[in-house]
Amino acid sequence: MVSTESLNDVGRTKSINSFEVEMRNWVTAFFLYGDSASAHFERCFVEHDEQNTTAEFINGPSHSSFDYSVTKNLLDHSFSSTMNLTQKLFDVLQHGVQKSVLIPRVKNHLILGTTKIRSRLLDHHELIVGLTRHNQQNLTAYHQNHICITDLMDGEADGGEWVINWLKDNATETDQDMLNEIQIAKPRN
Amino acid sequence: MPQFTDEVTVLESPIDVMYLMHKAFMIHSERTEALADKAQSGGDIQALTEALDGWLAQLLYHARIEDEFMTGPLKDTLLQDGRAPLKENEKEHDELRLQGGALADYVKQGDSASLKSEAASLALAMEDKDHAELMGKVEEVEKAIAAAIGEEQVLARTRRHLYQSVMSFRVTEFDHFENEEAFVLPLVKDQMSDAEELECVRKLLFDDESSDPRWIIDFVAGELEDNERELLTELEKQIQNQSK
Repeated sequence: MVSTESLNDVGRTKSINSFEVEMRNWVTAFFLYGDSASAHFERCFVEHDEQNTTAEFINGPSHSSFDYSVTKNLLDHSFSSTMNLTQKLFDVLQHGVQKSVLIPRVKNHLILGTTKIRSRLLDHHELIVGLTRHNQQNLTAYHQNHICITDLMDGEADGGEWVINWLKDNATETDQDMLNEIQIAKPRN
Repeated sequence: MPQFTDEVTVLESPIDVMYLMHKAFMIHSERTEALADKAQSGGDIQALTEALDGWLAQLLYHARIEDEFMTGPLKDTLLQDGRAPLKENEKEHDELRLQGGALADYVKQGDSASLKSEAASLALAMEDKDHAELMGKVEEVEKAIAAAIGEEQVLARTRRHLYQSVMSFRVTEFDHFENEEAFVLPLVKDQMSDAEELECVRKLLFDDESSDPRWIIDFVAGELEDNERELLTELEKQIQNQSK
């Protein structure tokens, strides 16, 4: 995620255009992530239905449960509100920044915008991670994550090279190793 | 560039005390925002709540007195883009009251406030049919999120949203101060005599209805640098002389 600190460098070591490019790259990666998460959860339900169990999505230790439509609404809402916040940030960039000059008022709004997006993204991510964990614990035939990863990369024109490289540029060393393994394991077209 | 972000070296007119007041308010707001930031990683929520209460008390009093005694008696004008500065100023005060009230409510809801706001936000976003269905499931949605992310993450999420709301409130306040200094203060200077300005300033700095009428001026003075505090002291002397 683009850091708000990078806005402090605008006008000194970087231009507002580079901030915009970073944001656009982030949006592209987030779209791919959203598609991947959505496909992943659709598969969970298919797998679940095939087990002829009740149509509950979560049935964890707390005995709370909720159904597919609520889960789907939550995830869709979470995704679309992140995109709405991102659009608002681009609106500020388009209308608030004149001749690449970043005045304090506009900078405030850009920092607020990125903070809101980061917060929303964390909400979204925690939800996905939490649901995944519950599925793994409660569904015996939980589908394999690598299928989603492979599908995600195969669905991209460049075979997922761009998104993997972008992730590597923004990941910790441990995660970079995992991403390298995915790249190595993936057969070349 | 708003005046309140610079060092204030002279008060050309009594109403210029607004630059000092805005500056003091903004220093307090930024400090509160820093507390909200720290609260995300386990910082003191009590200190944050007190700072927020103080912020709201100052700003709400300030806005009320401005509406009544500063912009209230003035005649509005039209800017080139068709906006009326005094009307806009009142609207901005309403927005601050709304955001401030929502922030106070959010804090009162406690550690699980983010679940309620998430469920309400989802319900609002739904189409009519789904909306009706979902309204009956708000509690279920709250439980579902809590079950999915865990109790610890619910607290983290609430603190994260609180920080975001505090920042949002501070940004709205910043914009308002800047607008007020650019569009409203010139009207005050044009339409009020020095004596009228001084009386308005007296009401802004001293709360006649409080058992501690100095709670505003003391707060403002406490946030300023020495030279700016001297300007405030000089102005207080002028107010006292006028009252004699």
